Amino acid sequence: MIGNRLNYKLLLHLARPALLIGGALLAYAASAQPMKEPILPISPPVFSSDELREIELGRQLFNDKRLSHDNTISCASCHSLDKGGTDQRPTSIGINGVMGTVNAPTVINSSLNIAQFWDGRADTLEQQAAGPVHNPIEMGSDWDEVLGKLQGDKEYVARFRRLYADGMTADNIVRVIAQFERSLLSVGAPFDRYLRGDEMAISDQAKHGYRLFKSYGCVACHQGRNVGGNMFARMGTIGNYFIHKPELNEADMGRYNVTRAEEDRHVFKVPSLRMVTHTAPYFHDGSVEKLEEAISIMARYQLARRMSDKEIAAIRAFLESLDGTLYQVPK
Amino acid sequence: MSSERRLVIIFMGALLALVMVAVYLLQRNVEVDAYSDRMVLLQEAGRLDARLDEDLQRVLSLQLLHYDTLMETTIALRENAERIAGPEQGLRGSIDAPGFDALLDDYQQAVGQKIQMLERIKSRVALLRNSLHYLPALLEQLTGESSHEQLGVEQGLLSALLEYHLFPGDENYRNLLDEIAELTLPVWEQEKAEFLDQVLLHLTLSVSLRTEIDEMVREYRTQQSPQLLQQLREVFSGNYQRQTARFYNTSRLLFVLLFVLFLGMGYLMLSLHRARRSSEQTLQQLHDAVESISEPFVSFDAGDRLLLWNRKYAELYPASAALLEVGTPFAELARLRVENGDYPEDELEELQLTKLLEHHSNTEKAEVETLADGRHYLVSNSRTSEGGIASVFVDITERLETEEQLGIAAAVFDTSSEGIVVTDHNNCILAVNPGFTQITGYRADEVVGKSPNLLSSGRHDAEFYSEMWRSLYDNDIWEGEIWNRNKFGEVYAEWLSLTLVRDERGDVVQHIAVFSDITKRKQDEEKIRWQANYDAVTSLPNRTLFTERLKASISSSHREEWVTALLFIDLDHFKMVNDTRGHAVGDWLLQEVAGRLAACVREADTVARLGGDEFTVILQDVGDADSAARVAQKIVETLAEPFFAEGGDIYIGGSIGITLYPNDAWEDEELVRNADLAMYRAKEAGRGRYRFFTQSMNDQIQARSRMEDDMRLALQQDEFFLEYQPIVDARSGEVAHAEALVRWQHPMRGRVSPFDFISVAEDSGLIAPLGWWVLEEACSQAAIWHKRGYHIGVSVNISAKQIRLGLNVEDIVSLLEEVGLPPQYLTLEITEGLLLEKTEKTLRWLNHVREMGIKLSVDDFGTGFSSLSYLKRFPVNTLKIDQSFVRNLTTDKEDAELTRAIIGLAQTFNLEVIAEGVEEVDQLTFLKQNGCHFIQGYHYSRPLGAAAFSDYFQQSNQSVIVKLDEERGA
Repeated sequence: MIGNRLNYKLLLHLARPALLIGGALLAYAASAQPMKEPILPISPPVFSSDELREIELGRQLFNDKRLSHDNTISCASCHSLDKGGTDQRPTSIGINGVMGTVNAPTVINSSLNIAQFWDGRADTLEQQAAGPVHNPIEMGSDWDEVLGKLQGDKEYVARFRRLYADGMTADNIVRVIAQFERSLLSVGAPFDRYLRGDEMAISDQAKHGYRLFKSYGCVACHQGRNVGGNMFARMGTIGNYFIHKPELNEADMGRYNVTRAEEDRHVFKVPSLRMVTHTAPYFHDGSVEKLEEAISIMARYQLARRMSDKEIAAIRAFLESLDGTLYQVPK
Repeated sequence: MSSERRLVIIFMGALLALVMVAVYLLQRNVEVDAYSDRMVLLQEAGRLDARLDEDLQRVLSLQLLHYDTLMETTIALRENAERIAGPEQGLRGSIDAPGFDALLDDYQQAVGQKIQMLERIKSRVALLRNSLHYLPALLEQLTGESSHEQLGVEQGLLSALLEYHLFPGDENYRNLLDEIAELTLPVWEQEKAEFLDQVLLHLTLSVSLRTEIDEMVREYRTQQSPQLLQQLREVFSGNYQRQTARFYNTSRLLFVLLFVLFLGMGYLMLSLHRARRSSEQTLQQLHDAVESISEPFVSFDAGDRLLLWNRKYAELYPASAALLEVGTPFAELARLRVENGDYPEDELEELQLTKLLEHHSNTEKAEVETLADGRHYLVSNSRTSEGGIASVFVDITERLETEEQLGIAAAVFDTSSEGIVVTDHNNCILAVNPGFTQITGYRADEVVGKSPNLLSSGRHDAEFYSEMWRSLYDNDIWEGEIWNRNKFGEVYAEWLSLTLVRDERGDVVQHIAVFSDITKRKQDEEKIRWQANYDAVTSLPNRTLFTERLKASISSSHREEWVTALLFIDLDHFKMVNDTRGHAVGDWLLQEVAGRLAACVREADTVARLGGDEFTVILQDVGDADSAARVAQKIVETLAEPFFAEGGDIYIGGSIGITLYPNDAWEDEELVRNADLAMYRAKEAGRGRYRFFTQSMNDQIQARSRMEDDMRLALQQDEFFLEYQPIVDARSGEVAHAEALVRWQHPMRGRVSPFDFISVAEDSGLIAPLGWWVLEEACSQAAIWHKRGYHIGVSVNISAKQIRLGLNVEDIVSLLEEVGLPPQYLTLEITEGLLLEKTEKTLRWLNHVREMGIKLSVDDFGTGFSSLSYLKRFPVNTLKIDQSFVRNLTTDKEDAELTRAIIGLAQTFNLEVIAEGVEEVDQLTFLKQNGCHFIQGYHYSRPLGAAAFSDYFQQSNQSVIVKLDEERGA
């Protein structure tokens, strides 16, 4: 129907709206394209005064080691805000020094994710927050024990009573922790300023890196406000990443553990790159120490491309510009 | 009018309540809100589901730069599905339709599947986009420096690729495969093989992704979520509509019912139209009205939350006034008020709160609330039509105070023993109190409405009553004694106070009569009068009445020139009966005697009891002495007869003295004295007989009288002096003690015997000054001896009469201090008779003496009715054996035994014992042998003057004197 001699680019452009369906959707698809860039800036959140109280209480509980069986581990133990919301270990250490099986993902900007955990098994932050408390190799406790301990703290009891009619309950504890986590947003990143029109906000190298990031196709998965986190993808789309691992554990199965569908084997939530310079080591198994190596692995297994060191350095510079400061909740 | 209006309001309220209850019950089943909320959820689900479909299209367009908006849809849909399937806000278990919950499960699963498919498509599309974007660049690199022919190949490939992607069919797929097959690399450009591989890789990848995506989209579309949603909605809303239909049917029925009801009310409504209009007006002005209520007003809704109040109410609780807010629960208000101190401070705040809540919930009861300012409010609660509570506060502080006063008045009215009658202006009885009933016997219901005349005794004439009323209306008050008749016909005396109650105009509205039954008082007066004149034991006239009668007799005898006799009767041995048989028998005996005496005399004669066992009889107009003697003889005989008492017959007897008027004396006192004296003579003559008063007796009286005069003079002229009789310790022969004995040397009479003058002194009361003089003299002398070193005690006789006349122990102590004699050197000698009196007063006196350190000895021990009991009771130190025993010690066996017994007794009670009147050696020997060592008597020495006593002391007490001399010498 269309002539052989037609310019490919022109064809592609024409075909784009009609690629799969009829012209009816053409108008809609065109209008639904308001953003010029695939990456969006993060705006500072706005909280009500009740939410601020919840956040303050959540902050304390986030740092409270009584949530663990032997009072040694708090949420912050593995999600240190000083370490980009992670523990900067390949896998985390739970109570009694037991080593976990996955790399602790950052808690920062976690509210922008489509789901929680590497395999996305928690739909909400609340579901996520309850997880480690019960995990025998993480906090190894249960709500009866935790509540038993916290009921003794008059301050907590009073503050919960002020916030909720039913006072301190397991649901309310995870609610305030989740609320606190919603306040953990990185704002004011140089790249966000750049997106808002400040051309000088990032270096030329970073700008170059961003162009590469887009043209190589990294941005196909790492997009949106969180530069990732809003979709799932197989680790090793093109090459088999796991072929070199001597032994696979359950965590390596990824989303298969949730859906039990063969096609979800090794599928993980695409991690956010917002705090990536702080969250080494990388990948769900924390197997890669250097960011450059991680970029290289990604290009190879996800894109079947090979990048030069210079290009990698440029992408790194771009990634660094994604780095924001932690949003400070107004007192 | 107002009651009608109230009726309408109540009726309306009842109807309203009926409707409300009906609607409420139906609503409970229908739950409109819950339904609409859930329908919103379902609608939202449909919208989100459609948006997800749109999102899929946008993904498939390959034009999406990022997935953030998709993510929002996904999260929203996920949450929505979660909520729909949930049990609380969701639909699970919300309706009772078979398979509904399974439908929910299916829907939730379908949504989950869709989201999962979308996620997979998202990642495939990302890859596809990359491949499609990368291919042209790759091809360019592959053919960048090649010929035009080459370019043609490349263009053909891309076209085929596009065609395939636009219209994926077998034909286009084969074309594409053909184009790929044609893609070969010239030999000279083998170094670009790597690019070729890449091109091939991405081509095949895009094709396989294309296929995969198509497959997934198909699977996505197989998900029946909109259909399932539609089913859910239909089942759910169908169920709701059925319920609604049921509700409407019921409502319609109800409304028809109500309509009928209202029709029935029509007539009533019409007639009450005016009332309703004003009620509507009231309703409109409710708020203003509430505000204008002078009392605090508040109302709470059915949930006990604050609804409406006025300013006055807010002012009631100043500390928490700012907290009043519509919707505040009463419990909260009450708690805040208790906390803020709107109620009086109460330790039990919790308790108060509980009380408040309890009272508020109990709307039937009006309660009194006391606030911090001390005022009391009556809180009247009533249920409002919508089930709330409306309360009006009335300040009843004053009323409570008034009530309290009224309560007191009522209590006085009810409890007063005085009868109180209130009558109206027509003098009809309005009220009477229990006191009235008590006195008159009439109950309130028997007299209310009647005239108080029914109590009239008939003892007072009409004039009395008219005078009473006149005085009452003149002075507003009348008081007086009045005789009335009670219900049982008994006439009684009462003290009546009448008071008028006038209104503001001064018209009399009520009479108040207060009266007390003074019959008893009158009886009491009678009794007192009787007691004053009659002897309680025998009912005979007592001394007072006797004296009166005697005087009367004298005057009538004088007038009529009668001879009247006075008999003075003293019972013999009565004291012994009293002591041995007890007072009850004694009293009985006196009554018997009185009876026998009365039987001996005429009706007109007077028999009286003067006290103790002394009786008198006045025989008026007796005629002559013989007649009196006959009566006396009769009395003597009748008293000699035995008295048959319980526990043995009693034999007493009587001694009688008789005196005659005008023969012996003209004055009553003289007559009594004469008779008394004559009676003594009769006793002396051997008891059980009578004696007439004689001239010699009169002489004797005269003599005593003269002696009395002489004694008075003697006291002034120091005619009395003391002698001291030594009391010697028989073991050593030394003087241990001295008994002071009073002596009287009269210039004319010479030495007067103490036996004579002491009795006169006692009778005349001169014993008091004489006794005191003796004490002073004896103590001074003893003090002189004491200073000289003679440590001897001195005994002074004390008469019972002296004590009765008021001899003061303190005075004795002062005297001892004054003269400088330690109290233990003074011994007071008392007689057995004094001990026999046994009165508390005597006992106190004696104890006081002992407390002061003064010693006591009992004189003439053994002559009276000595008993062990009084030795135990009285604090005596010494017993003196009477000389009458000592005298016959050696001759009379009985006296010897008695003396021995006395000595034994004294030893038992650890008392000293002194024997008096010892004259002979035999007596001394006997006494010494039996352990009585202190001896007084002529055997050692007669009583001596002070100087002579000193000499005797020096002779007997050589050792003491030597020692004293040595001391002086040294």
